[in-house]
Amino acid sequence: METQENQTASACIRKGSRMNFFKQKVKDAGRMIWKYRAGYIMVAPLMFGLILFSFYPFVYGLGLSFFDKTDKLMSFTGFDNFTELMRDALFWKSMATMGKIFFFKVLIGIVAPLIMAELIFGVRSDKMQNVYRILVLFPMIAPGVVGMLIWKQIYAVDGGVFNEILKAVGVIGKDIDWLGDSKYVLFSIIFLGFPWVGGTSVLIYMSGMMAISGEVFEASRLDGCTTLRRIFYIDLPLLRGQIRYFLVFGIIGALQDYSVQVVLTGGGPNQFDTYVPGYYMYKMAFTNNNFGYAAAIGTVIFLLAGVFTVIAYKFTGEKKEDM
Amino acid sequence: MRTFRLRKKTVLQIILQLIIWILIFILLFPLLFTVWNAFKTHYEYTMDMWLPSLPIRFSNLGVAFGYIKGYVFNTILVAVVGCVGMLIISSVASYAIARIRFPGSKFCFGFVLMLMMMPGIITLVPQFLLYKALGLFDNFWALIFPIYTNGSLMSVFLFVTFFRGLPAEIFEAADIDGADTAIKYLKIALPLSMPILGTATIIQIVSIWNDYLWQQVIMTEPYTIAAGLIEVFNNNREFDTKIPVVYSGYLIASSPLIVLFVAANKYYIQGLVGSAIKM
Repeated sequence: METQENQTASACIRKGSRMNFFKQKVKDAGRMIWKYRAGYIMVAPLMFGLILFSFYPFVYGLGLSFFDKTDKLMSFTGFDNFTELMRDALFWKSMATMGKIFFFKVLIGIVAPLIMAELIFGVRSDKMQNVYRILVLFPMIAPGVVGMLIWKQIYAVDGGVFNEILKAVGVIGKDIDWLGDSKYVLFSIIFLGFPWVGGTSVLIYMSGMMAISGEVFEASRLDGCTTLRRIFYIDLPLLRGQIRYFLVFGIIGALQDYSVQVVLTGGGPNQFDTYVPGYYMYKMAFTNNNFGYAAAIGTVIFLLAGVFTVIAYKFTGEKKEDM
Repeated sequence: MRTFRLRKKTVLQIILQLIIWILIFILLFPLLFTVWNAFKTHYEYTMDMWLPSLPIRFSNLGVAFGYIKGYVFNTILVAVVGCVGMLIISSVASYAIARIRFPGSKFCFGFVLMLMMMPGIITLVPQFLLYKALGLFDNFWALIFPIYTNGSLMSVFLFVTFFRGLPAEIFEAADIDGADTAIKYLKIALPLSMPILGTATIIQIVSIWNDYLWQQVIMTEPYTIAAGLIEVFNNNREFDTKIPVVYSGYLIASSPLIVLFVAANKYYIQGLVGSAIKM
């Protein structure tokens, strides 16, 4: 391969023509592609689709945030969208709301499944472990929207499960409008899905625990290591890959999640109390047809996600070993 | 001494399992609540929502089904057309990336990983404008193409990691027997990847069942089940006095997922546990 290239290179120099050199290069590349044609044909549909429908919209979105775009009109406005955004009180309010939800959602997303995985992992009977693994997945059988609508019934003012339980226990005296009262609505959004231990996360943690060699556990047991110590000094460091996965995808997910707003609160109560930037963007685009401004919000969230992801990487220790 | 320690361990195990059962009970309570209240009259529901009661009124199911049957069939159609295409596109491409190792295969995989990390929030608006510009607004294919593209990402990730992990010897043996790429893919890689197929299918179907946002912006009327449920039950005061019918509707909407889950949970769990997802 190398000698061939050298030969062609020297041949070209002899002829003194750069054109021929490039022709030869193209020919080589062509031969290479022909040799691996099966591979290129096999990835073509995927790559074509991804470039057109996934990558191009990303570039388009970045670009769009510098334009004023409505249904028909489109004109370049430079950084106007961003400067307007920085002065937009509703945007900052929505950022603050998101911040509150964000912190708890990311934390819960990492910790709750980990606790459940540790609990199940501690069960000695393999048969029971299997039963629990299946049960934990069960919430998946209800579509997410159904899950949310069921929680709407749980939070209902009149005869909702949540109020009934809290009244029975004596925590509250009278019914609370969990989704309609500004004082409680953020708590309700965070609490939704309690005890948050369902789904695939538990299984992903468990697969990590099973990958830890049994000898390590055995050695720690012989050294008289308590379960809690084992969890902190052996499990957690060795599960770093999984924790980082949940951290990064938890951050990305929490930054852009506004499904509760769309399905349950509509941004209210008081019209704006549960606005998050994602929901603001959605409203801007599909209610106000202000696509440029919406794209600018999207761009800001995207940049935030990028910064947070990098910080999360730094925070969780050394560079990735392998995916 | 020894028996004492043994007994202490057994007690600990019992306590542990008890805690797990309590957590699972709370976790599943909303689902159980839905199931038993789906079969009551509204009066029975208001009297006692906490426990199952007799008689079981199957008629609720019929009433609810009447409202949402169109959405259920639409969703099944989207799921079948979407998943079959997505699985073919992603598994074929993954095989090439993982086992043919053509120049650029690493780039392709990197591209997929990059898109996986891309927040959907930045692409929602431009994707909407793109599909609209392509004349796909309010079009069936506007629901399918995202499955073939964005939906393929996770599946490619799972397939590539899995195909890379297969021992090279199998493929070398096939090479000696003169098998070409198509045969190696169809006869060796694909049959071995059943757990991944199961996992990818479940993830995709669940996301189709969940999709509310995209189809709400790209279709003029609710088409699949998530938007259908909200349209019928959530924006409709009429059901305030027929709440068990609403629960019946939720139950029907979940039933295809229940069937899928019962059929494929073994593969799904295998696939997830075996894939070693981490970063």
